[in-house]
Amino acid sequence: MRSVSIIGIGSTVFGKHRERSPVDLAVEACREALGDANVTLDQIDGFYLGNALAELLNGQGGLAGMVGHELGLPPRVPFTRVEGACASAGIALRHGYLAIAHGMSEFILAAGVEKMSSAPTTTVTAALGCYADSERDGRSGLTFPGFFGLVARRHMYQYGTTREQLAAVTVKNHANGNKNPRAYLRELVTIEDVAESRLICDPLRLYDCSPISDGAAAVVLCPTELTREFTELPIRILATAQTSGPTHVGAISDMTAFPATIEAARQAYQTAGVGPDDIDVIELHDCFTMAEIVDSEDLGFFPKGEGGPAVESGATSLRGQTPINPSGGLLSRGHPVGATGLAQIFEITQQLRRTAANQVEGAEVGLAHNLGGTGMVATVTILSNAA
Amino acid sequence: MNLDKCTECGTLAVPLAHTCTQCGATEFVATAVLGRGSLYTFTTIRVPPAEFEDEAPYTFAVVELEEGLLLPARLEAAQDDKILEIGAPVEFASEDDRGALFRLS
Repeated sequence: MRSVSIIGIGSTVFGKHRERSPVDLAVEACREALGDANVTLDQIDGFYLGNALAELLNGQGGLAGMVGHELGLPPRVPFTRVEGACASAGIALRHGYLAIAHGMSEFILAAGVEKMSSAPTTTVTAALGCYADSERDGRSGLTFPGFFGLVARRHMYQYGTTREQLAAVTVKNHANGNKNPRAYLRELVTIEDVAESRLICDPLRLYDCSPISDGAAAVVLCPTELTREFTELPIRILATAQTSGPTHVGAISDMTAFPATIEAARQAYQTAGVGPDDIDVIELHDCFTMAEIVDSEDLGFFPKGEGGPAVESGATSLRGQTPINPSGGLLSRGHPVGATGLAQIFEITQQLRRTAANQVEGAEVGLAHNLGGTGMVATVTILSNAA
Repeated sequence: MNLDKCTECGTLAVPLAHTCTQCGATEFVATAVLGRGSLYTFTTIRVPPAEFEDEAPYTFAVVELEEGLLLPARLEAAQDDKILEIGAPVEFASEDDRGALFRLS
């Protein structure tokens, strides 16, 4: 297996792009990544596109084919749509990595896109709700915010996590997003702003939830041995793991943890030869404030139940010991679901290149965590700037 | 109310089960249970999906059944002075095409 590196990255601004199609957003991010990599279209020999909801929200199927064609990639290049709910882009990255690692491809373009703002909220809620088990939980009206409301109440009951600790996640992530030119919600917020915002699914309020967003992100990958021609600072993929987890409430024994995350982290740490203490910067899946706290525990940064006190103490802020979501995370940067996994890789790459808006000093090893559905699938990717 | 019971090891599952999570067997039989348990967690959904607009706001619960299984269910509004909290005893009330409806005992 060959070592694989990231040589180019691109991303649209995340937010509401009502006049733009998902194809248009994806093409922008892809072109930026190709330009950043100094790679021409005819060098690309594989294209992976993460996207979850284009059929339901945009009336567009075959999105990888649409985007690949509009970019101008020729017939010899395979286009593959990758879908894994909100982990679609993390999985797309993994497949691009595997194609090169196993010698099948040389230059891979991997992108993720979602356009969610054209549909009414009840339609978007129903579309996201498709990721609940439609014959069990979905049938009874469970929504995404609803699932995390269930998790939040249980986590608060079992571990004493507080309303203020949840709010501290939003405060931190908005403070980070405030400086990120690609983030969607950049306004600074206080604990009170979060705790008094509109109730969505108690105990979760509006500011506990990532916003409905549009956006796209992309990367160009190649074998590490070829990177010198394209960049002075390739970012090496040390590991990328993908796992599965329970898909409905009745299959879960403990609603305060995601086994898919725990196992993906275990595999990735083992492959990369590092542990949680070796990670300098983290982009994890904060679809809701509660999710950031649970993820930080599942990924091994804090013992189970300690994620709330950790964020409250400042341990996960930019200057803290365990900087989490310097980009602003899903809460502030936004969560166009099919794009998020690669937006995380975009941020970690900038961090390791030392070009991030919210630069973590001396970052050398970064981790990205992408979670799909109600813990149905997880990816954990570990990157390094070491030669 | 009915749950699926594994014909090999007797583990209960939320219908319709295909593979037993404990022993891997693939045959199940519908088994009646009393539907008694306690609230493992719950939330009131105020932003519904399109199909549930008529019911919003509605309370979605996870019931920890006496038999040990976690079961998703809608919850009737609390009557009298009964308090909605984790651990509160609940019981099966009825079932329709949207699944089971529970109430505080």
